[in-house]
Amino acid sequence: MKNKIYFTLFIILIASLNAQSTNSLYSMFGVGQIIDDSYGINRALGGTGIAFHSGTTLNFKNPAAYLGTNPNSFALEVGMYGLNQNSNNGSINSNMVDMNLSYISLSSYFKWWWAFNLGVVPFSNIDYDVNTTNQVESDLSYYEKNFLGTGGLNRMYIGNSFVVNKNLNVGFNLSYIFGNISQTETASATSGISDYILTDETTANGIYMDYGLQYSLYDNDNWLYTLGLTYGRNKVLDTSHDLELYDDKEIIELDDDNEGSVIEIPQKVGIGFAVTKLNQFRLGLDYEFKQWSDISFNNPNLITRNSNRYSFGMEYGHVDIKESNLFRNLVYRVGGFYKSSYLEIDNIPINSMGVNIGLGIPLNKINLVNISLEYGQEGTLENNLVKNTYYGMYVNFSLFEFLAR
Amino acid sequence: MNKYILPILTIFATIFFTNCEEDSAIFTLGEDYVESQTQLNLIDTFSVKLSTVLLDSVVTSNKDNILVGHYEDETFGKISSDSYIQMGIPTSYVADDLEEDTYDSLTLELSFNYNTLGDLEKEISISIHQLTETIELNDDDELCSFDSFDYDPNPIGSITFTPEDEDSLTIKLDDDLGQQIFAKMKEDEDIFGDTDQFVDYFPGLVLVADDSYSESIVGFTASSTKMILHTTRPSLENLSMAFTFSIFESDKQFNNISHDFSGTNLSSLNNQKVALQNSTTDELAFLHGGIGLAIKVEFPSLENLLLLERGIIKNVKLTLTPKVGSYEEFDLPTSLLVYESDEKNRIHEDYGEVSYSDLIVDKIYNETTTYIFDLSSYIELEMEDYYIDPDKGLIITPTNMNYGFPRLLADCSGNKVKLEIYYLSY
Repeated sequence: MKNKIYFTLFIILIASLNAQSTNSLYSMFGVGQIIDDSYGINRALGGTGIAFHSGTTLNFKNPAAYLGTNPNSFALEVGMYGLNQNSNNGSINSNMVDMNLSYISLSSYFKWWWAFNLGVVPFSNIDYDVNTTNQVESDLSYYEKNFLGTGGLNRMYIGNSFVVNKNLNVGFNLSYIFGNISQTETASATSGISDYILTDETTANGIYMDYGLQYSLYDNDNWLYTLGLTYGRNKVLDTSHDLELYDDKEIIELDDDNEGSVIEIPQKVGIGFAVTKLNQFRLGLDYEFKQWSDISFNNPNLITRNSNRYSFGMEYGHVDIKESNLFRNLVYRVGGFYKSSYLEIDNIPINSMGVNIGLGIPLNKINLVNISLEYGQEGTLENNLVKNTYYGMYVNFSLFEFLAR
Repeated sequence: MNKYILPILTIFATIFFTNCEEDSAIFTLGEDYVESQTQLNLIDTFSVKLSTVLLDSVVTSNKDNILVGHYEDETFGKISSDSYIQMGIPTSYVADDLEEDTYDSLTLELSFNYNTLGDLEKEISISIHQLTETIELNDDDELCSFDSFDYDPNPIGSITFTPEDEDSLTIKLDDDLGQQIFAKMKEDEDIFGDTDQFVDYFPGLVLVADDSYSESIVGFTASSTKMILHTTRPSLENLSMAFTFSIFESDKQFNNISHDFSGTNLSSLNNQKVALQNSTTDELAFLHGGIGLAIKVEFPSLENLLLLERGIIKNVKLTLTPKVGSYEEFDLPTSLLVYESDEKNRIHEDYGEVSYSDLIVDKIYNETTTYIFDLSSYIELEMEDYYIDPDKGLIITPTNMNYGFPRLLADCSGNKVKLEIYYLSY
C-alpha cells in the first residue's frame, strides 16, 4: 500500500519539477549551465562521488554507484533547493531568491547484483536577462537590445548498477534529455527604426548514455579504497526552433533553418578516488573533464575550451538508530569544488568555485533528511563582466521502504 | 527530538531567504558575446538618380495670389506672370439714388501679400487691361499657368512703382470706362442685378507687367482686391460715395506664368515626358514652384533589394541636400512632398503623397541642411510583389507650388543624395 503511495508521490513530484534557476548571464550559451549531477548528498560533498557507493542516501555521480542501499527496500529521494544569489559587475548589483523542488529519484534492486535508479533530475539551466548595445552594421548609430532567456533541460533516466565481482561494479544510465530553451530578443526603437522582438522557442531532446565503474579494494579494519571512472559520449541533441519576429506592423514566422544553434553535450570523462571507513568516514576526490573545445557556439567571439572540475568531499558519522545522542546520530559532510569553465569571454575564463557543508539527520528509523549549504561564486569582475555569488540551501529527503519479500 | 527537525528547517529557510530583498538589475554585455539572431544593417549602396522635370501644367487658380512681374536670373532664366481677375457687382445700392450723383473716378486697389520674387528696390510697371473673353474653367474646374484669355491690348490703367515703398496700390482706371459703368449702374438693373450678366458685360481684368522691367514679380492678395467707383452725391455737404466691385469667383482668379530657359542649363527642357539628366546640368536637379520644375528620383539598382533574403526592411530614408551656397539669395522651401510618377513623369497626385519632409536646417555649417524623406512604406509596397517597376519613379515637389516661388537646387553629387535602407536580417 505504502509503495503505491510512494509511487504516486513520485509521479506527482515529477510533474512539478523545476530546473534550478541561478540567473546567470553565463547560462546564455549553448545548452545552458550544466548542473554537473550535483544533487542529493553529492551537493554537500562539493559534487564529489565518482568513487562513493550509495548507502543510506543515493550517490548520483557514477551509474555504477547505485548499489549499496539497503537490499529489499526501495528508496525515494526528493530534493528541494533555495538560492539567494547576488550578481555584480562592479557598478550594478542584482539580487534574487528562488526556491523550488529540484529532483526526484526512486531506487531499488532487481536482483541482489542489479540495482536500479530512476528519476528526473535537472540537467541544465537557462536564466538570463542581458542588455547589449549594438551597432547598426555599416553605420555609426547604435541601438539597444535585451536578451531574456529562460528554460532548461531535464534528464529522465534509468540507471543500472551491476555487481561484477567482489571488487568491481559497473553501470550505465540510459537518459532522455528534454526541455525548452527560450530566448526573447527585444530591440528598442531608435531614430526612425521601430522596435522589434524576436522569440526563439527551442525544444531539445535526445537519448543519452553514460557509463561508470567502481573498483574497490578492501583492507582489514573495514577500510575500503575505491577508484571510480565515468564516461559519457558527446551528443548532439535534436532541436527544433520556433522563431517569430514581431515587427511593428506584422508577425513573421521564420523558417527553421538556423543551422548555427546546435545544442550539444560534450564528451566527458571522470575519475574519482575514495577512502572509506565503513559506517564512519569517507573522503573522495574527483576530477571531471569535458571536451568542450570540439563544440563551438554560433559566435566566433566566444571561445570554448575544455572544462576541468576538481572537487573533494568528506563525510563523517553514520545514522545509528540505537544511538540516543542526536549529535552522534548525525552525518557531517563538507566539500568544495573548483571548475575552470568551458567559456571564455573576451579572453577571460568564466570559472566557478564553491564550498559546502551539510548534515544528514535521521527522521525516524530509516528515513533521513539531508541539509546542505553552499557558498559559491562564478565569473569575474574583470572587463565589466558579471560575478555571481550565491548561498544555496539544499534539502533532500531519503525515504526508504522495505519491500515485503 | 526528530520531530523538531521540520519546524527548525522551515524557520531556518524562512530567515535565509527572506532577509534579502530581490533587486533585479539587468547587466550589460558586449554585443560580440551575445548570440544575437538579428542584425540591423544600413544599406546605402543603392544609387539615386536625380533629374529635372518640367511639369506641363501647374494649377494657379484659386490661390488667393495675384502674381505680376518679370524676373530673370542665370539659373532659371526669365519668368513672367500676368494675373487674371473677374469682378462681381457692388453689393447693395439703389439705382434711383444715383440720379443726382456725379462720376468722380474708377480705381483698382491692390494690397501686397509679400509673396515676391526678385529685387523689391527696383521699379516695376504694371498695366491693367480689360478682358474681351469670359474666363472659363477647364474640365478639372481649374486654371493652369499656361491658360490665357483675350484682352484689349489698350490698357485702361497703369502704374510704375517701387514695391518696397508700398503696402498697397491704388491704380486709376480709364474714366471713359468708369463713365460707362456708372451709366449702366443707373440704367440697367438687369446687368447690375445679376452677377452672371455683369460678367458677360464686364468679363474682368488682367494685370500685365511691362517687360522692360525684369527685376521682380510681386504678389497681391486676391481676396482684398477691389475695383472702386467713386461718385459725389450733392446735398448740403457733398458726399463722397464708393461702390466696390470685389472678386466674384475666386477660382477664376489665376496667374499665367511663362518662362524662357534660353541661356541656362535648362534650355533643352521643354517636355514633361523627357527629364533633364543632371549630367547635363552641373550635377544639379532643379525645383521651382512657379515654373513647375520638379525633381525626379530614380533608384536604378533597387531591384537588387529583391536578392536579399531572410530579412525585412525596417526603415528607408532618402536624403536630399540643397547645393551649398545656392540658397543664399532665396529661402529654401520649408517642406517638400514626394509623389509617385509614371514613365511619362506624370504625378499620381490622386494616390496621395508618398512622403513629406520639412527642411532640416544646419544653421552653423550649412553642410547638413537637408530634406529627409521616409520612404519605408513606399519601398515596402514596391517589394511586396517581388517586382520593382523600372518605369516608376518619384517626383519631388514643393508643398505649395504657387506660394513664395519655392526654389531648390539639389546636389546630385557624391553622397549628397542618398538612399539609406535599414535592413533587419535574421
